[in-house]
Amino acid sequence: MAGLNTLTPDQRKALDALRQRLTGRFLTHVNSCVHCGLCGESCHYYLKYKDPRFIPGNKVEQIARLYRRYFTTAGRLLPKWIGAADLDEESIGEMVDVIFGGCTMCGRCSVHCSIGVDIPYLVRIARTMLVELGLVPEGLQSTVNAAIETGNNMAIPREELVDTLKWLEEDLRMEVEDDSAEIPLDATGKHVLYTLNPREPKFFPLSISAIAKVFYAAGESWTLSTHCYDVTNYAYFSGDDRKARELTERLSAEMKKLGAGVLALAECGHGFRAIRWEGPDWIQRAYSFPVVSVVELMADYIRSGRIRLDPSANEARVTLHDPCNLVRAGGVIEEQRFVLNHAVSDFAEMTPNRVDNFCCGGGGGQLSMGEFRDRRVEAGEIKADQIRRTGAKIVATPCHNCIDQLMELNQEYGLGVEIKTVAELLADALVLEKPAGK
Amino acid sequence: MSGPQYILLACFIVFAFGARYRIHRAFPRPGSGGLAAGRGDVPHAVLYSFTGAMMPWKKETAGRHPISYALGIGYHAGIFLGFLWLVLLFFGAGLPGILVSASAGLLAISFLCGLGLLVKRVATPAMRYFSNADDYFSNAIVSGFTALTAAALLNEGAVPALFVYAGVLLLYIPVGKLRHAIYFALARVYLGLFYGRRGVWPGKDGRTWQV
Repeated sequence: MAGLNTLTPDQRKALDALRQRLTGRFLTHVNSCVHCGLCGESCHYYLKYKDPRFIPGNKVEQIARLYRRYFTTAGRLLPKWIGAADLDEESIGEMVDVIFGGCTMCGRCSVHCSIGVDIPYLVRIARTMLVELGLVPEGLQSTVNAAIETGNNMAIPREELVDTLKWLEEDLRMEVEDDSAEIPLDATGKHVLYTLNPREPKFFPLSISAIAKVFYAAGESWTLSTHCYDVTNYAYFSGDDRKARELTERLSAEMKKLGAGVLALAECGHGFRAIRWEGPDWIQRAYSFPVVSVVELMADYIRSGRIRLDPSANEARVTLHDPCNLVRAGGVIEEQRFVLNHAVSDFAEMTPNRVDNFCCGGGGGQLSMGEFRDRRVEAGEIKADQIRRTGAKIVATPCHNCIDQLMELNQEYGLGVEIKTVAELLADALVLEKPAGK
Repeated sequence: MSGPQYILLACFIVFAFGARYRIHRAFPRPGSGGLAAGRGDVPHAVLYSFTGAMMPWKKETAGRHPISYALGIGYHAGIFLGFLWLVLLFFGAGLPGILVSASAGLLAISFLCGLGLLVKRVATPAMRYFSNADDYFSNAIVSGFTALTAAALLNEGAVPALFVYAGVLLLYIPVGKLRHAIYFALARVYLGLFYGRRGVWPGKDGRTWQV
């Protein structure tokens, strides 16, 4: 193998991680890019900066050149000719900057790739190599570590969570004027186990109130776990399969412990992708329970008549931001539109939308990587322009990561909009039956 | 068989074994779509991956770059035509003169398309940034193949040279970026599997990407 003698132990581990992933899928995608460069205009980073480093094809190249160098005959014999590169400080430095700091793994480039290269898949494997090299950006790594060590990525103590939820329960009872309304904690045998993004109890408790009100109105049998409730899995972003597996196993075990029928995921794009689609591969078995986004549940409540809505409660124009991991990589595309079309009176689509929507810039773990903050906000200008063109006063999005980024874009670009979850708008439109005796 | 035919046949056998090995390694295995419960129509999505998803009104890279798209289509159509003629010439099949002349014309157009793409690669700084020697050479050797095939159709004396040239081309395909010829279809299958299982493809009809 070329240059193996000069590799450090960590570099060898990184190449071993790559070797373990030489599957048919990897071999196909890594050998398919023709360097046409047309993907550049599908990427919000390239559109913003016109810097060729950010052309998705160049992101593929970060891992393809290592694959060629260490795993192909031509790369061993003619490295310069076919663009193979050694795993050295120079190539690693560019990898960190481009793979972590110049890509949100949104997948827009793949949909439009002239060949069909699954670029975020290759980017994530490149990130896996950087995990082995110990080069995951500190903020992202500490977010993963917090989830592993404390059970949630914001390290919220259980007592604090319970206090917040109890306070929200009191609030719910007042709002619905029903003393029996509750936010059930750690209850067994319920139909739905609902998860939270830790940012909700910490910074956005109103989104918990909103979904609790929706569950109340629908008469749902549900519970929250106070031990294992984190819908996020930042190890998906960091590329750390071992930790991603650990977090998935915990949720799976909590489902078993509480005996719930359905795992319902809070409005979180990457959380949905990680748990719903990637999780079974990490734990190497299919789940014994269905996993749904709460957006799907909400749409189902409307379809089945379990809740009634008055869209005039939301009169301002609302637009929708499609989270990449929920929509393009998750398949939840129409449900949020169905909900909003019933819950608001003036809904306007962004252009482009659905599978073609642009990333807000907050995906891929960018929000936790402070060193790339300016780039994240600047690349988000495309999303800000999309929002501005709709003339909307409210931007709804079923993803807390996106909400954080959109709030920052709102401030940075003076959009003058409110950012809300889908559940918040739905909750505002609910028509509640008065409980008996009231 | 002539000497050049033997060379071409030998090169083809080497290429075929190499291609078969690569396809075998890369071919989707049962379960390679993932262990999560699927929610979409996978066969339909794979079909869509090869059809609707490739259309310029769906694929932004094609729609935004109509000239590159047209050059690419013309180039690749000519390459397929060139290989078809290579087989016919190898077996000494005779076809009406009008078809021969028309094919030579189409191959010449294909050559010009290839040349156009090569010029674009050389002239565009963003493309040069991540292009390597193989990117330029691959274009040149394939463009040369279309030109030589056109010449062989118009002048029988060039046929032996075409056989040898095509043999070298077949041997080169697995070396560099030309291996996308082996992997392209698999990439579309994998993409169709990915988006199909998740219920993303096939999506709504109509253009949605345009800003």
